[in-house]
Amino acid sequence: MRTAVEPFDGSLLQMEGISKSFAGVPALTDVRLTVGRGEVHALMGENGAGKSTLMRILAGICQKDEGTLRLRGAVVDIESPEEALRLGISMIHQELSPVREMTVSENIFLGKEPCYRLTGIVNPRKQRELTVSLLREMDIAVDPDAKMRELSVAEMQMVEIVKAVSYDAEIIIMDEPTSAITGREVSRLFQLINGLKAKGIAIIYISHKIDEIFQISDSITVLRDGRYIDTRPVAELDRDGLVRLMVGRKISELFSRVNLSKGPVSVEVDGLAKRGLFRDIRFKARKGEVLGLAGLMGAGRTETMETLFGIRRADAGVVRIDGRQVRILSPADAIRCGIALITEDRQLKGLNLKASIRDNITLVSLRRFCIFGQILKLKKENRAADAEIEKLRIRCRGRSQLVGTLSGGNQQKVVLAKWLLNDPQIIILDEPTRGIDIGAKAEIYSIIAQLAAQGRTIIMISSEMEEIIGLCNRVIVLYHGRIAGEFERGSFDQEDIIKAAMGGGNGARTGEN
Amino acid sequence: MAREPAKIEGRRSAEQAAEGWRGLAAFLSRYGIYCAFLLLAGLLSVFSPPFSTLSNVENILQQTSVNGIIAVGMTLVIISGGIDLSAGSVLALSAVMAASFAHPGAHLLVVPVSLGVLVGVTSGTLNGLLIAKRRLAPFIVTLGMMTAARGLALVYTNGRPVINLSDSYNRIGGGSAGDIPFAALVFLGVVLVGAFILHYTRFGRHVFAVGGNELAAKVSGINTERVLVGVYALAGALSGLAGIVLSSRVMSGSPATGQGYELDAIAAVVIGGTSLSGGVGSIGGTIAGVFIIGVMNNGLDLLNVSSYWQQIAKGLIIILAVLLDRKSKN
Amino acid sequence: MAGFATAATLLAAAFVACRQREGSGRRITIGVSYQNLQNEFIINIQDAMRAKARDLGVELIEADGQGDAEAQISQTENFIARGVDAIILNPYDREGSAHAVDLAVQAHKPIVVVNAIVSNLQKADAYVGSEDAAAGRIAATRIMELLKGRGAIAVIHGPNGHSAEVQRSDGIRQVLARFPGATIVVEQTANWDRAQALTLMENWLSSGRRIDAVIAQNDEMALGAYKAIEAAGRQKEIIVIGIDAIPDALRAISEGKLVGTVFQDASGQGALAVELAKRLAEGQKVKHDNDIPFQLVTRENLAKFWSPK
Repeated sequence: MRTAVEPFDGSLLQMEGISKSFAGVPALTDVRLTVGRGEVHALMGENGAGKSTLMRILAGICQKDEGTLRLRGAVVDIESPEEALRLGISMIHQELSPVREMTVSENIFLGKEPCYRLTGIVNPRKQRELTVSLLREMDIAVDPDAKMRELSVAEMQMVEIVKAVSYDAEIIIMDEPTSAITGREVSRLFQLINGLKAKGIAIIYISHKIDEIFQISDSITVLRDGRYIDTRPVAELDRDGLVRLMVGRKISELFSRVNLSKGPVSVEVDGLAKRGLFRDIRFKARKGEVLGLAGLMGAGRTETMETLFGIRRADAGVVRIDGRQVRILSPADAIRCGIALITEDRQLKGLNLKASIRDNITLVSLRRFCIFGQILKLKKENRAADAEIEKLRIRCRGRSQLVGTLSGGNQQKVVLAKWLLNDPQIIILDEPTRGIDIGAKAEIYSIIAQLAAQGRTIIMISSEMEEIIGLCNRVIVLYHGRIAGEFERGSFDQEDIIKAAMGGGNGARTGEN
Repeated sequence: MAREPAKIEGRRSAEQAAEGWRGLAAFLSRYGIYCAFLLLAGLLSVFSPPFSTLSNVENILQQTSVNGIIAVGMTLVIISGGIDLSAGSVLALSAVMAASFAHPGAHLLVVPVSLGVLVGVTSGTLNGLLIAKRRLAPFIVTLGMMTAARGLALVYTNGRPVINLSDSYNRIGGGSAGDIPFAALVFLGVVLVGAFILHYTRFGRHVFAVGGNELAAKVSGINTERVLVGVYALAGALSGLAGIVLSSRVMSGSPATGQGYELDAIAAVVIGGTSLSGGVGSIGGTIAGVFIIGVMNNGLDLLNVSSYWQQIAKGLIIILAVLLDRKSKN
Repeated sequence: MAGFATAATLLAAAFVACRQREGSGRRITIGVSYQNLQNEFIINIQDAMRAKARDLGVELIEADGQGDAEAQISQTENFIARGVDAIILNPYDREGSAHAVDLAVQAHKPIVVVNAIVSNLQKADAYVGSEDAAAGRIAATRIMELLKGRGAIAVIHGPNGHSAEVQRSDGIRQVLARFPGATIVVEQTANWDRAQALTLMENWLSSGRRIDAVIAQNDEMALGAYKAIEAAGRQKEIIVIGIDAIPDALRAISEGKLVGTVFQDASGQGALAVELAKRLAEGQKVKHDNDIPFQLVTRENLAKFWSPK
């Protein structure tokens, strides 16, 4: 519940008339941004809208072509990240890259280790003391001597924030801070942010998660296509209004009609279990159905689906595809059964970033383009790749472009194309719209709906309530590796689902058993 | 806040100039290696007229064949994300074993030749199995094979070179079909087959996929173990073949031969633009690398430059190639 | 797991060392460090040493320097630590392997240097070898005879700094200096390797320079060079000589391919080294310089050294 809007005096940061082009292509045109002390200012817009470019200019990572930057009233020119830090601007990137083998306190003081006077020798006791007091100040329970690689993603993020604060930052830029955390950890982060606010530190918050934006920010600035659109206090906006500013459409228009007709059962899983990860997993899915899989991070959703797909081996359980019992011991087995898996981390498990779009798209179905099973028919392959690029509207310079240079949304489309080319009947999606801007999200939602309408079975793991409610016929909720609830469309209740995900609730079960 | 026309004009011509430089950079990053080769060959022809004679070209073809054959196998291994330090030792092992069956009148040629290749395939397969199934680092596994194979060669021959080889064996590495040395024909054959496999077959595409992102390849249904074993087995076979070509050319199977050959092959592959981190590369680039090294050695010998300076030159070229490669990526 | 393996290894080593202790006292033990057992010539020395040791009833503890002077120093240190009665050093590097002699002298262990010299040779108790400079002189003299004192000479060297390479180069130069009509037109190293010499010779032939003779500092390189000359069809124009008298070279002489080689009596060197070491271990005094002369091998006296098998 938001309290009355406090007017922020915008005295801390003023960016005015900022323009920047890369290789002749304009990324920002005459953009402005005003942030006051103790303000949480959200920066929103589709991918390509210019948010990251603007922040990189502020953080000294690249230089503006035109415009002025005023910090506390004085004009400044930020030429390097070091200078930005000195001026009190710190950025926490989406991809955390701490030194994994070093401890928490070493990471926090990296580059500014407290040394014995005059010598260059590090004073480890002082470093630890400082770390402990910083952590205590911010009420973070992390062991200062733990190695970074032992920490969870959420804890690593907290450490990054502590690091930023230790630089006496007055402005902290957070880029997609909740992309890899959910539930309780997000609340914890927001607590921290509020604590920083109280100290007068301003936060510039970039995120695609509309829910969170409304929860935590004081004002929202929207960019579109590199241009400044508007800035509003959060109390003056609602979700539809925000989406319309960003995209020009209403939220409800993002989801097409859900396919209600039910086909025969295509996937049946019974008693699936793996020690330490999940057990008693039992469900059925039908052709033409979108089955949602909800739950907190660590509930075992990804692990269950990876086992169904043959990446992990189950300890027990039976899987039936189209009524026939099958043994799936490797991804190749699963693919032969007509299953496709779009993993949650596309860069880690879904794509070969060093290869071209064409090479990625045709990878699974390569055999279809071969003579004698080995010799490639390049023309046929190229045509197929071009067709997929067009069908899914992948924005690129052509099939030879390296996938590593595409935006997140387009990369995800390449992953989809790769699997769809093989004509799978059962498609498992793990967080399909993670880290993707709202425009591309809409496209993916419509693709999913189309696939279901074609009679395929879709199983979708998602942590965004919106998606679950907007797309699914049924939802299964996992908690600590077991099924905690099942819900039918019509009796969806966001609260019930969340309760089940957190272990409570009555575990409502539908007739589907 | 409309900008003045003059500023816009200036901006546009600056952009055009930038376009021009970018185009040149793009061209150089793709074809730079071939340009470098032509430049080198051109300079050498000017400074040393004998360089461009037919017989010298024949020599160059002869002298680059062994390294070239190994380098083709090394290209596949490096693209798959690995490395093969055992090439030189496997070459020696194959050479001594093949040579021991190549005495005059002892066996048909097919015996030493197939034995040599078989020894190579076996060593390579062993490498591949350890790397793929036991998940050991390629550097370590092939380092171990490098020492073990060398030791095996010394044990097999008691430290002495195998001599007294038949003339027909000699023809493999030393003979010619008209003006073209047989060794070069073998090299050419290996290049064509290697390029075909790498760029035109499903297996080749899988090699790139495994090298680019092994995990993603596995999720995409590729049997990554089979790909890795295949790649190392092929590299081993080529090291074996190179051993036959070398021992037949010098008419002796020495257990001490081939030392450092794997490094020359890696140098050729790296100069040719293949990335040591895997997933990117081409046979064509490797061949350019092989010839740049070969031409440079040959040319500097003609100019009677000491081999120590030649070594410095080779090192500088490798560094230069990597720098250019790094720049073009940015 | 690693801890267990280490403990087991240490136990085993201690056990073996104890056994060693028991042995010495009865039999004389001699530590031998070879320069590089991947060299056929050195293997001949090894064979002779082993045979002699068997005859005399002494025990040899052998180590292979593998072409690394550092390694030879470590090996010498180990011999001293194990308490051998004498040390035989076959040095790889004239400067680099010299420290081993110092170590032995400090530890009061008799040391015999065999086959190649070190810079501090005088400090050793004895030297058995053939003066490599003599080998160079013999080879160059033979070539001058055949060329009647004038011509363009190509020299193929061993690895730079190698004790034999330095000496043989000196010897070759000494002789050629006496003939104003003879000049060295090209010289380079081929590191004792046949294939390298082949490539080198090929390129020299390509360069169009006039070459009348090739003096290769060992037989492997001579044979490689000859192969290139033969492939170019210029065997009648260029003569080739090597050093070492390995079997392949002797056969080549019989076939008229090489015009000669220089025989280094590996057996003689090895046997005498072991004998001297034993006498030193028993407290006797021996002569410091023991030269075993090189011999020129040509078609004429080939039968003395080789017979077709």
